[in-house]
Amino acid sequence: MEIFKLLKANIQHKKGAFKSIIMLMTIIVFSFSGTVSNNENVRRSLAYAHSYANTPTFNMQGLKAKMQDVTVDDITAHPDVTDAMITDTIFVENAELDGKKITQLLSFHKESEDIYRVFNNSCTGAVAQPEPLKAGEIYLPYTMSTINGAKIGSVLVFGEGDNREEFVVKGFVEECSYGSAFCGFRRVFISDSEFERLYDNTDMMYFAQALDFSINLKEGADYAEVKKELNDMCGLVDKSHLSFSMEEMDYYTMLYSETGSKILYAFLILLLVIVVISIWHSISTSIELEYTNLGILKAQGFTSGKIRLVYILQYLIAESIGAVIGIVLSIPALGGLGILFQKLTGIITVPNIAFLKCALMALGTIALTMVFVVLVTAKIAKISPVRAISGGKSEVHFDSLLNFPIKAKPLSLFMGIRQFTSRMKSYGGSVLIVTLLVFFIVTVSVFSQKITRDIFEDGAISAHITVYTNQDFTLDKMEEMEQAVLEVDAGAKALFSHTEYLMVDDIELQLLSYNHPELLFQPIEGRLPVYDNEIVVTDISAEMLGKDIGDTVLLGGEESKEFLISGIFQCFNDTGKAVLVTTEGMSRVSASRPLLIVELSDVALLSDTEAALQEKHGALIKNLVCEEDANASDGMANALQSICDVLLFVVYAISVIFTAVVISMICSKAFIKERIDIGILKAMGFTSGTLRLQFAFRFLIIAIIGAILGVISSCFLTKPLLESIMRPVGLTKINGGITLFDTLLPTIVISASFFLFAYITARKTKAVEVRELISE
Amino acid sequence: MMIRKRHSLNRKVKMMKNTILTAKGLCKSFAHNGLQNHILTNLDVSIYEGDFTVVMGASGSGKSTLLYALSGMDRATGGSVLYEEKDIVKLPEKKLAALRHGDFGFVFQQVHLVSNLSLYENVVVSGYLNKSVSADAVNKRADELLSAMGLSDIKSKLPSQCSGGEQQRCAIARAVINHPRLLFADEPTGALNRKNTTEVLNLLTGLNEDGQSILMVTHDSRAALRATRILYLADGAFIGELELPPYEPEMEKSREAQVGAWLSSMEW
Repeated sequence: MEIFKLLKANIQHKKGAFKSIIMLMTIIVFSFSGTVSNNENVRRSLAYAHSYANTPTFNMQGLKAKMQDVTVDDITAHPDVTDAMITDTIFVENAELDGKKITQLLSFHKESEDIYRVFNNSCTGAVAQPEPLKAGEIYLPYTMSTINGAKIGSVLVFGEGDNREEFVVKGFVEECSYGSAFCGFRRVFISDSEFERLYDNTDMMYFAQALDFSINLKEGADYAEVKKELNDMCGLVDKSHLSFSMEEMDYYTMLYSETGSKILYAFLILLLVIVVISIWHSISTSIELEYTNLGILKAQGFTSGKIRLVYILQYLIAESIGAVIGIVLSIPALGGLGILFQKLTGIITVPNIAFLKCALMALGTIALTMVFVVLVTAKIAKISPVRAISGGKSEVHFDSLLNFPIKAKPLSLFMGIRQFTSRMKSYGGSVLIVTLLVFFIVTVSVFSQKITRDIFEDGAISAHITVYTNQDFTLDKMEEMEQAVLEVDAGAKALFSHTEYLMVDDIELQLLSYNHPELLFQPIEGRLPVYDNEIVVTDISAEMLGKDIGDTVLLGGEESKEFLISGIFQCFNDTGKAVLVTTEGMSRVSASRPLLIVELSDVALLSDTEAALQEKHGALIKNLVCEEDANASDGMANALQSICDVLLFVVYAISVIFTAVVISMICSKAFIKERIDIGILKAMGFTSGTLRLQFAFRFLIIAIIGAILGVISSCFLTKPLLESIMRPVGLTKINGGITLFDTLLPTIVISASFFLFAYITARKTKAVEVRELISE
Repeated sequence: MMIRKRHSLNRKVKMMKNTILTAKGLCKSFAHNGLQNHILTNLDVSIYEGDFTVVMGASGSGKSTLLYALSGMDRATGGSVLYEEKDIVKLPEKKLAALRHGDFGFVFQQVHLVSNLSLYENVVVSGYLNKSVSADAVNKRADELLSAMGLSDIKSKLPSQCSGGEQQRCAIARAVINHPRLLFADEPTGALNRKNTTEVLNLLTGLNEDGQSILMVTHDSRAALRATRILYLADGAFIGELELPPYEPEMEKSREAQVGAWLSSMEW
């Protein structure tokens, strides 16, 4: 009973600290509750979409001309294959949506095969009974609204002249296989009659007949092994254009919610450390300030255990209240998060709170902080009732190594420095808090500003002109065609490129080829391929292959060719599961012809360049596509950037709120501790305003020291941390160093917050009366 | 020996000396649990240039409260305290702060030096607040004062590393760094031993001899011997006043007898 009396009195007496702990806990639980629940929602919605669509274990797509000799029987002959289905599809390249080129390959399917749910008009759920498509109408996967800016009523066009086809977007479907924003391949749906008409009139110049293989495996079967064996049995992989397992598709769909979550989890761990530091500081100071009272309690017969229990219960109650508020507040926030991630996953995400997981994590967090409460309250046992009653702790002696002399101008700043240096140890926790916050904000800033740039600029080229060559083209014509471009626009980038999926040492990887790879890539190690037997691999491919520079790999299925690894490069295609050879190297393993891609330095020269190519090399050109407004990754980069911006905003906002709460806690304690000094300074003639300024300067100094340490930590740790987090996306090396700009804004924001909130908290100096120094 | 009734003080001396501070109808009360506790009631007093005025009275008589009200450290709840024709009771915080670091100096019973500043810094920081004096001039005066107080050798020490007497001497140096017109001292020897008490009192006497006006509160009759004017406070009002010639050590015995008798008449 006496414990509850003390507890009640303690809470009433220390409302500030109690409220601060509630607030800190609310922020932490709100953040992880939102993150965990959102991840769960995406995962659960994806699983539901798969079960609704009956997604096969793996899917392959390829040109009918190449794959038509592969039958269902060939596939089901494999003992691990339970069933297989082959359906007709049409591949369309270079389509335009509302006049803007679509860079993804489109695979047209019959509406009757549409096994996916259709989004309602507000894109918040699915319609129960979608209207059948009429001639000229099309359903697109939802992420095309994010990436390509598609809207209901948008017009999709492909082909030219008599072969020109036009479709109006009727709505969006939840395509859970290739529907992720990160896929370069899109399934679209048209009415059955339109499909039949198109299929019978395919023109290889604009669209091609293709096949879609849906294959299911026995439970427990090794997908990679089966794929390899199927390739050996009927050349399935070598003949296909692409193949993905359900796991791989899910990996792409969940990529950013998983990566974003990892960053937020890292941030939350840092916040937790900050909470622990704050609790530690709060309790230590409280014990110091309450030394006499605690001694009196002991003298009255309270055991150290009972007093500690009061502290533990006090923090337990505050944290529990914070946890409940955090979970409750995260429920409405989940709707917004769901919409944000739906833009990247293309999956209808129903916002639900993962209550059990969140509650368990909240309990874990509380348990962890309680361990620290128990540890820090151990010093209560050392309080001597006799010493406490006879005047408290022994006198404090300031012993600073950094005794800067006090100058007349600016006096407040020098007084602030002295107040900091004379109690430097007690501000260690505050410095560490700033260090952690600045380090993390710099890290997220680098993530936000550099990662998107690296992903979309490395290896990217804006194709103002794409030239599809015909069968008369031979590799010796490459230089002449490039020359034709450079004669018109000397600053243009012109290079031949080709991409295929191929078996590399029994692992299917994306094989890129360029005749001038140096225009797009820089090697991380070694050098780019020069000869036709050289290959460069990414860090991730090298790891998958178990090979390094100087080793050899075999490319291709039955008639494989040996290539020597000349270097390591970075590429985000297929999240880094890619290799690169020269155009001549590609010709050793593939009969496909490369495309000429031209990025002009001056778009005004587009028609002249096109005319020059047609005039000089028209005989070699099958099709030439021009686009003035070429930027291959606009939609994707924007979508990704908006996620990064939201993440950065969240981190900044949480950091500033945390700063406010932590400063309020620390300042309040410092204020109580220094009440007499404040009175003396007032008696000497300092005004409340100058004393507030001294307080604010003291915390500005703390913030600047912490920020410097945070920036130094960032210089050493940010890149390795981000590289490990971003490895699943294919980013193994971040280009460039951390710049002054990367560190300046976080430093200014945190330092200014410290200064401002310290100044605001120090308004209590007004309440200090000099008469408190009177001893009658 | 002169015993005067309430409200009839100062008539004689008023004619000869300049008044620094005048309190009229001064009241100070505190509310506690809804009840008003009246410490000072309708009190009139003037403090004169060059005087070493000592206020005496029993514990709880309101001596320190009076000192704080007169110095503007605490606001009176009624009446006025006129300094240079301005009522300091009504002055805003900034102007009060300017008075504290300019015209008034203050010495506390519990010393109250800033704990994280050295003795020297405690003195100069007060000086720096006076913007009309250069930092160099402040530094020079601080050195002179600390030397005069016998603290030169320990000026870089923190208060916690010094004795009570050293701390109080430093507090006096701090209080006079800006050449205050009036030095307030609240039981400056109350926390000191005999030796330190004598040192501090000698310092204050020396300052007064050099022209420094002092208003000191004490319940130590030995300290009161240094006064040129003693006021006796009881129940929030003055009930007696004693004027004395300037202090001379060789005359201490007779002075002690005179003050002792007067205090006895005040029922001390």
